[in-house]
Amino acid sequence: MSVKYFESQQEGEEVVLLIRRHILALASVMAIAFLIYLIGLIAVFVLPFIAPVMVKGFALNIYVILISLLFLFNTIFLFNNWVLHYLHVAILTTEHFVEINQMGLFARKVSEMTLEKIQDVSASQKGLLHTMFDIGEVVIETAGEAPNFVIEFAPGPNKISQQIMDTERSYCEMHGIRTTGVSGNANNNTFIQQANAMNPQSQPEMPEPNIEYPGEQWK
Amino acid sequence: MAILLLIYIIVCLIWLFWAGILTYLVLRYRYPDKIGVTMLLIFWGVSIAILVISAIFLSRADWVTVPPFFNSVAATY
Repeated sequence: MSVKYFESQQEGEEVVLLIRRHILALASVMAIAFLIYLIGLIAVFVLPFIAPVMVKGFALNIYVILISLLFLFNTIFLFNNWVLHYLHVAILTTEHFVEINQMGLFARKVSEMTLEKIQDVSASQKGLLHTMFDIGEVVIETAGEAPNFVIEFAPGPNKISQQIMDTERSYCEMHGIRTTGVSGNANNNTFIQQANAMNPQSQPEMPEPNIEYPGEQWK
Repeated sequence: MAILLLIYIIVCLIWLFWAGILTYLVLRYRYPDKIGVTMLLIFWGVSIAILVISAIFLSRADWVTVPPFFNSVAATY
């Protein structure tokens, strides 16, 4: 394995899917940034004709400095948001599902779980833009008290959820895991119990429950 | 007038610090695709172009003569 996508990626663990939010998630930021660029360009090309006195002598210095700072900080504002967008990913491997959330310049959160903990995967699309651009929300429900994974602005949410389900299924088959997760369905346990009931020899022997009732002592 | 240039340089240094952090983040955590480095190069290209153009204009500007606009404002008070 030559390239690692995340710190704890094991030898032989292949990346199946790298999910990054759709670029439309940055639409509002981009709109603001381009509006500021537009204001800057208007100031550069229009102001010298409207107020020529402002672009002469010392006033020119202030004018150049202000325009320069406007463009510089607008560029870094746009790039800053893009970096946060770029570094916020969800990675599906043959063994794990990892979500890396870059919340700020100095705030980073990495959540990881093995595929057997996936219980259910759902994809949803709301609104005109989501339908037009095939964007949606993918929710991965996990077993136990672990928090669910939510991928917003996921491009092609149905394909992603299908891919997650397929990978989880092959993971469980490979490791011989009976799961209540998506590889069967929510009632998979019931099917396993029915199958065991039909073939009692296959059932593992359950130890007798050893429960003491302290209430007896209190009488 | 030199104080204005000094303020500009200080603000540019703050900008440089911010840009340095972003560059570090992209290079440290980048994924094996070309998007990260490409965007980084575009960012630095645009930024350097802005800085160079600004420097050219600032070097040509008159740092001594006060324009008529400021004279008229000064005369008012």
